[in-house]
Amino acid sequence: MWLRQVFILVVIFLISFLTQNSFLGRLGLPGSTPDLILVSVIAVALAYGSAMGMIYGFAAGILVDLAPSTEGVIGVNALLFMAAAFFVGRALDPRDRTVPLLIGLTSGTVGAVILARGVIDSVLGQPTVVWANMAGLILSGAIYAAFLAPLVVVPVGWVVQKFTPEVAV
Amino acid sequence: MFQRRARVVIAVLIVVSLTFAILDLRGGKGPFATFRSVVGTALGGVERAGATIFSPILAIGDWWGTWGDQRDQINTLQAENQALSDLVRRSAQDRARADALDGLLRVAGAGRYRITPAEVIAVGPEQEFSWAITIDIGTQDGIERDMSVINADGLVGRVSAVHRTTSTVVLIVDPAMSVGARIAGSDEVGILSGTGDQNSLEFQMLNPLANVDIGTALVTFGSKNGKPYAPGIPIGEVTEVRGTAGQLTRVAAIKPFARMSALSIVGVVVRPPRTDPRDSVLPARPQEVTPSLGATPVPSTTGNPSAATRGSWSDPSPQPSPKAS
Repeated sequence: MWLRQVFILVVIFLISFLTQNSFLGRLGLPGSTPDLILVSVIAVALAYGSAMGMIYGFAAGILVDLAPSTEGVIGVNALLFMAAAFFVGRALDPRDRTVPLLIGLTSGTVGAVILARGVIDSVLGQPTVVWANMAGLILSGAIYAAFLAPLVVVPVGWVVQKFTPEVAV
Repeated sequence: MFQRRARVVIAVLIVVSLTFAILDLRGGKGPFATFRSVVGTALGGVERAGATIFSPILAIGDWWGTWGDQRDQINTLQAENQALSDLVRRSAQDRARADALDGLLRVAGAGRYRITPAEVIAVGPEQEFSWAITIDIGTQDGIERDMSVINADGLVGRVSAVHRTTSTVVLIVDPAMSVGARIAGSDEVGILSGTGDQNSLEFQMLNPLANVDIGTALVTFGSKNGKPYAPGIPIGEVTEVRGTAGQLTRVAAIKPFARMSALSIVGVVVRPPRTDPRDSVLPARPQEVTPSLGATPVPSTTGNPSAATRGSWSDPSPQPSPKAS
């Protein structure tokens, strides 16, 4: 039971990490990089609920912070992903979920996370935040997330329902 | 809202995150250095694998992104390629012309002919059953009727009509042509006539008992004042001897040295040599030169220093007596 869940989460993380860093990041799209890992956190929170989503978000955030090609403060992404998972897991009653709603929720959450990351980094005194670009980053990130949402949320939900139906929301 | 256990776990995770952030911010990279390097190594491997997997897909993206550029580039390169190919073709053509001229000069130098080089500008229609070409020099270049025309390989024909800037040359393969020829290295003479076949001439020997070997070369016998034929010009080699020795007429088939179908640079012999070069104009055949002869080239009385080696391929002892007609 536990093992199967952990396995599913590890696979989800590896696929999204791989795709984001090796593919999406190198596409050179304008604005922000499509944040597939965050979308996967949202998908997990929707599928397993807030608590599991927050645990997954913590792990994914710590790994992202520690992984090569990220130079942020360790723990910031973990906190942000946990917050996103908490919010997403409680925002919608599972019975009200429709694909457009999920898309809107995902892209709104991603935009909010980008903004929050900017705020936290500024508060922590990181010099890398350029507020002039923030609007563009949030907008592009939200648009990319809207595209990624149906591609990630729906399959993750399906996999979770299929293999671990007893813990699925 | 959460189960008790979940609440504890989440609270711990939040505390851990904050602790990490604070520790990291204090500049104390110490506790995270090994952690970072371990995770970095593991996830770096994953990233590398991902790069391998996604590189072809990204290459497609690059292809789309630069499609327009590449089309321009292809056009540019094609144009460049075209220009370069033209250049190469032209240079090959130029080289061939230069080689032809070189050969012509070699022949002229070996035989002491004074020649005027010319280019073939037209070839007469074959359905007229005459083999004639037009060259781009005429009376204003000092060309006269009945001058010999040669190229680097040998005799081509003779000038049959001269205009101001062009001349008509009848080729030796024309059936109406006949040339006085001599077998290289011997005194056997005969009449060479065209057959209309560009690879075969007919050589009628005056001496029916003469011994002719296949592969022996023929040179022109020479005419009075070198017209229509200057002496000593290579014509061709014997490919076949018909009729047995002693018959009334003996005929040999001769393959001309000059390729009649591929004439481009020719030379008109405007002044024949004072003395008959005999066989000295024939191309050297090193594999048949005996080492002793090759080692000690003796200037012959024909006045050509290379005559001893050049003429020795069919007859090792060039005859010193000039036989100009």
